[in-house]
Parts: sequence; C-alpha cells; structure tokens
Amino acid sequence: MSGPNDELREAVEEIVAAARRDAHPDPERLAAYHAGELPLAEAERLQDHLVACRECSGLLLDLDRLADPLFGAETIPEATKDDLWRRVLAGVRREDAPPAPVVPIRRPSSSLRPFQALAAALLIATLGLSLWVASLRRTVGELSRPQVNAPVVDLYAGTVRGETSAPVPSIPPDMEVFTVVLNPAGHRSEDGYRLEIARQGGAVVWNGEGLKPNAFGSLSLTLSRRLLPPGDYRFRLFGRTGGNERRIEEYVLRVEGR
Amino acid sequence: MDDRSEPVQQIIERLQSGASREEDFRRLFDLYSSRVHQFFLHRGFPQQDCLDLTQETFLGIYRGIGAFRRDSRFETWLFTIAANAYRKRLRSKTTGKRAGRETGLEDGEHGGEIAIAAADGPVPGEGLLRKERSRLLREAIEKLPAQMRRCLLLRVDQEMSYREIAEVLRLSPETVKVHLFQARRRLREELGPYFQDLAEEAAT
Repeated sequence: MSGPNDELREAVEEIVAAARRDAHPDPERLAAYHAGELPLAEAERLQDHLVACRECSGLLLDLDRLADPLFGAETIPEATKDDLWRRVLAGVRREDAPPAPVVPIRRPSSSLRPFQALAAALLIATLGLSLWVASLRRTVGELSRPQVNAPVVDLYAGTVRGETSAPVPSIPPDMEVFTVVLNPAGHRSEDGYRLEIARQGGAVVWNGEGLKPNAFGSLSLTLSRRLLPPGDYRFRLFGRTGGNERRIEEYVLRVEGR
Repeated sequence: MDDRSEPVQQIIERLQSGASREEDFRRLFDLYSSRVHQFFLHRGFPQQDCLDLTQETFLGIYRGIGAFRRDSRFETWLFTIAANAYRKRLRSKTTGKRAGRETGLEDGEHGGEIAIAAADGPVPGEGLLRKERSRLLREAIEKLPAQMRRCLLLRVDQEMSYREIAEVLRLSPETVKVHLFQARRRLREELGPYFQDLAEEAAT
C-alpha cells in the first residue's frame, strides 16, 4: 500500500505535468537568467519552467559546473583526448584554409560603363567625321577639276511666270557645276541683295546674302548639282533699301536628271 | 575574476590577437574539453556522440572567439555554444536517458515523461478515497507561496539537493532549507493527521 509520500509524489507529478506547457528557453536566455540579467517577471516565468523541466534545470546546473576544473576530470582517456584534438585541429585548419580559387565570370564593371559609353560615342563620332571629311574632299576634288563647257545660264524675269512660250532654262544632265546669271529688269540701285532658292513645291534649299551686281546690273553665282538635285527651282531675288526689303524678281530653272 | 580564470582570459586575448592560434587553442582545449565532454555525458549521450559534440563545440568556439567579449564570463559563453549543439543534436536524433535518472531526456517540445521509480502506483480498492486525497494534496501545494512551492516541486519531483535548488532558483541554500521546512509545516496544518509524515522526504 502506498504511503503519504508516494501520494505527495503523485500530486507533485500531476502539478508538474500540468505546468509543462511552454517551450524550452534558448541557451542564451538560460545564461541571462543565471547571470541575473532577466527582469523579475520573466525570471519567475522561467523558474516555473525550470520546476517543470528537468532538461532545462539540468542545463542550468551544468552551467556552473563548466567552471569547475574537476567537472568531468579524467572522463576522457588521454589517447582519446589526443585523437579528439587531432579532429578539432583538422576542423580548425579547414576553417583557416583559404577558399579554392574561383574563376570570376567576366562582367562589365558598373564603374566602367560610363567610360565605355563615352568611348563608343567617340568612336561613332570619329567614323562620322571621317566619312564627312572624305565626302568633302571628293567634292573639293570634283570642283577643282577643270570642266569643259561649264554652262552659264541667264535668267530673266519673263521666264518665271510662264506667260510666254519661251522654254524654261535648264541644266543639262552631264553638267556638275554651272553659273547662273540673274538679270533684273531695269537698273536699280539697292543697298543689298538676298537670294532665296526654293523647290517647285516651296521648300527653301538655299538662302543667302552678299550678292553684288556687276557693271550691267546682273548678279551671278556658281552652283552645283549637290545643292540642286534634278528638279524645278525658283530663284527669288530681294533688294534692301533703307532697311526695307522687297522682292525684285523671281526666276525659274530646271535641273535635268542624269 | 578568480585565479583560475586569469590564464583563460590571457589565452583568449592571444587567440583574438591572432598570434599562435593553434598553440593557444590547444591550451583552451586542454582546459575545457573534459568538462564539455562531461556536459554531454550528463545529457545522456553515448560516448561517441559526446566526442562528436565536444568537437563541434570547440569548432564553434574557434569560429566565434573573435567576437567574444572578454568582460563576459567564458564559461557562460561556452555553455551557450555547447547547449546549442545539444539542442541541435536533439532535434536530429533521439538520445538515451540521463545516467542515474529515471527522467526521459526529450519526448517532444515539452520534455520527457517523468517516472518515479519509488512510486508503486495506486493499490486496487483504494479508489475514490485516494483520488480525493490526491486532489486535496494538489490544492494544498498550489496554495503555497510561489518560491516555497518551487522549492518543494524541485525537491520532490527532480530530487534536487538544497544546493541544486538554490542554484536553479538563485537562492541561498539556507533560504531553500527554510522554504522546505515551512512547506512541510503548512501541508501538515492544511491536510491533517493522515499527512503527518508528509514531506519528511522533502525536508531531509
């Protein structure tokens, strides 16, 4: 038959089993409790857990024992201890070993990207400039070559309106460069002249000042097919006197295709 | 800081400075490997597992020694590393029982079942009377002041000595002794003559 102490044990066991509800505190919290660093309420909750948990109370008791040099003395034979050290040392050396060299994947560095973009832009600009210079040289070369029978076309005001049956003056297909002479009707004295060359449709292809009439009142200028591709053009001549500009004449010219 | 901890602090200081790391780490190993090994034996692991866990603990020390604050107690830091290794191992495998104890180590998140070898279990025929006495006992224990009750539970359930109870509850052994004496007296007063012998075990 069981006695009072057995009944006490059973009652305690039931109380403890009913109290065993919360999760184990982590070791850091146990250490903080041991060091007296937990607030009172939290320490009391942990004490209630310790009362109900042999595992955690056992851990706590061993925390102090770790400071005792006699704790566990001679539980490991010397030979086993040496072997254990060799294992620990091997692990330590693995930790200390430099990592295996890794071949880096070459990627454009973000710090280099602006410079690379600048270099690409400079390359494109250089190529464009080179092409432009080559084209300019070709033009200069063409213009420098002597041309046989370079045409001179006189333009008169009557030809523009189409009111007469006179044919429209034209530039033959084989002429690269030609001279146009503008002949205003009558002789006027203007302070300055401006010429506007426009396509038949109205788009202005050239506009310039500085023209000076010769002794007969005519104005001449040399043009190229590069400026005037095949098509019909209108030459509008403006005169400026005392700050006022007015249109003097309008002429027409056809550049024939090749 | 006591005389024993001084060389430990010096070893740690040299380890943190990076000079003769292997040599100083061997010194630390010589000082603490047996204690760490014993720590795992106390948890009920077989010898080979204890060696593995001791190795794991020292590798943890080596990895973390650079961050250890020397104004802290080394054994406390060592405890957290070893206890974390223990908990990690528990999660991965079932362990044996703690030597010399009837308590299971771990049976789920809330710990193992408690088995009191001395308890013979209920005798058939006692029936309702025994159940009633058990209820009265539980109620009387629950009425005890919190710290007194904790002392009693640790004494009866975990069979701890005064010193162990004092360590767990952060009390002096004398206070524990007084608490247990008071607990016995109160239970006797509460429960009457049948329990005159009650808690004799608890108080001795």
